[in-house]
Amino acid sequence: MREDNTILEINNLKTYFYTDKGVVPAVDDVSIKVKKGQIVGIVGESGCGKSMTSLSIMQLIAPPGKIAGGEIRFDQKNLVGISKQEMRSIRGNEISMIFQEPMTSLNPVYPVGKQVAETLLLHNANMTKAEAKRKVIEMFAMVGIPEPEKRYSVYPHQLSGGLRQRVMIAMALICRSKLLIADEPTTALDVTIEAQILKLMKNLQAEIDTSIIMITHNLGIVAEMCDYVYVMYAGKIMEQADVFDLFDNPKHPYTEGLLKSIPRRDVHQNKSKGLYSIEGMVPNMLQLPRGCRFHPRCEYAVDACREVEPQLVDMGNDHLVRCIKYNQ
Amino acid sequence: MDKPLMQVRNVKKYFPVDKGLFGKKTGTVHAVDDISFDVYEKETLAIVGESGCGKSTLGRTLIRLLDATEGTAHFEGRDIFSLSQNELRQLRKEMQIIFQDPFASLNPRMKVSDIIAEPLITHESLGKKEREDRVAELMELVGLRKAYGSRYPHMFSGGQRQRIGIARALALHPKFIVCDEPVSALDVSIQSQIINLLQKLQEQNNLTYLFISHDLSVVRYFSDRIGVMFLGKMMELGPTEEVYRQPLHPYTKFLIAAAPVPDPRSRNQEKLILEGDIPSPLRPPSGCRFHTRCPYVQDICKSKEPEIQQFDGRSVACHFPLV
Repeated sequence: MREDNTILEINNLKTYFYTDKGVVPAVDDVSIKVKKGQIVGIVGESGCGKSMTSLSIMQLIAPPGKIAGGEIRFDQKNLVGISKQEMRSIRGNEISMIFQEPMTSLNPVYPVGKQVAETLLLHNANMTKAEAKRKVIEMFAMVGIPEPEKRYSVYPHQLSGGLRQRVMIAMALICRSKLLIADEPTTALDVTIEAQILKLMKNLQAEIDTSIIMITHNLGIVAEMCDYVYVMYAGKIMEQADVFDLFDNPKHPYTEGLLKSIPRRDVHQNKSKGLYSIEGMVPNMLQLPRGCRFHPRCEYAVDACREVEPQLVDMGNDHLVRCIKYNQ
Repeated sequence: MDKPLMQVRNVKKYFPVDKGLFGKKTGTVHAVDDISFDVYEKETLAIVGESGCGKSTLGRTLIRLLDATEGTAHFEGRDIFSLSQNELRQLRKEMQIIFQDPFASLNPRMKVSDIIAEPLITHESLGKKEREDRVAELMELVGLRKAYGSRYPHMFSGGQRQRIGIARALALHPKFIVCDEPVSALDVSIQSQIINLLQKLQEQNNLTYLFISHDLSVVRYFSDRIGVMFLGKMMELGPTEEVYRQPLHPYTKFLIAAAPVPDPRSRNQEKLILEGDIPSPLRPPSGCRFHTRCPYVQDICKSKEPEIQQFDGRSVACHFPLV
């Protein structure tokens, strides 16, 4: 029996893009679980499939992309294949999303408060406009927007990047979503503003008890925010573990390499040895290497890595890794 | 790292702000406002700060991609800002720039080998064979396969494009390179490759870098000295390790503390977070420009701009430095 504190369970999700040049397996047999109140990180570099995973959850994959297999169970219901109408009542209401660039996700010709109120009115047929406005102003105050009444009627361009992202968070949380997907929410922001937004997200998460999927390339953000982490590479989950376990004891050579290659602001590193770096680059998704997708860049690669695709192996303690070293 | 290669004195760069149909001047952005420092031979001087602080404008002004409003910058004894066009052309060989966005800084219609050869054509009178040899040498130096020379930029990943930009910058044996956020657009695993490449090239060719970045982690690893800018002003300047161990300016302290650390155990420490937004550079606050966000603000900070104070080898512009 499934534990009933699981809010989202993705099983063997395959999101493929059928292009003229061939099939791109952007998300390839990915399984992810999010528990109630948990912050789950999906970390990886550009093109690893982390954003496509989130767009699949939202059922926002556009042709030539398609969900080619698997299921996405949200609150016991499989979202793959449900009607557009049904999905519309979930999207923005029970599951909401914030993106990297708040300017492109806000409509430039409507006041920001009105846009947030629209979300509320859309999902609550009985609500009056005045009531929605009051709720939006309350929410603006909650996400730390100064002078919320005044800001209700300003346009997106009149706000700074940090304030725009706060508006997006207000919009995402105003319906008290059960799940918030944050796709690189602070990547476009300055570092002092990023710190504010991350703190806000953490506080709100504790207050509203929303689950969060945090999609990021930044291992610092993962370490600071997440409870459980999935590491993706070329469409596959390479490793998944509790955040402390992952940073203390990374098992996949890719995870290990990533952690070793980032400079740190909190420790002095000797420059004479150079920074550790993973050689080579991410594979072309149209011509994936045989066997393990990471093998051309892996310093531990052996012959078998070039032949057999390794399976995810459970190392105990909810720590899974996809590497032949552990495939016995 | 003993002799100054460049002496920057009281440099100002202002931009007029026009509005309306007739372009009436409505204000001035003080992008770089009275900045002085030295750049020493073979060092990496990092300039850090958040968007709009003027760090990129400073870098571009120092190599005269922009004309300074006031001040001087002496490079090997000559004031860069007062050179004639002809003299400037000569100087361009010595000073180069590497840009952040490897997608916007390479001409999509030119082959890679032509992109790298272009500075050689405009500045040196080499024969075809010599030029091809030099291009091949440069490509090898930055880790690009020779066969890539006949390809176009769109066929390359971000990291490889950055290598092309670096090869072009090195073509004329420069002494001084402005690196304007050279790794910010790159993935984590590629970022360390490019940092290592920049380090190797610096050691081999005795290069001096002005390394402009917003990434406090990369800067701690890569730079010898660091200058922290805020709204056009240099708030603090000093040797990198000393500044990180004991920042003198409150802004430096909070800026360093803001960057997330890749260690889950540090999450339990109470984090120093600056409140408020970055003020508009069009209407900078009176007195100390940082006073609206500074947790230690006093009355004098609101009215009087702080003088730069020196503390053996370090400088700070604050009424109440953290000593």
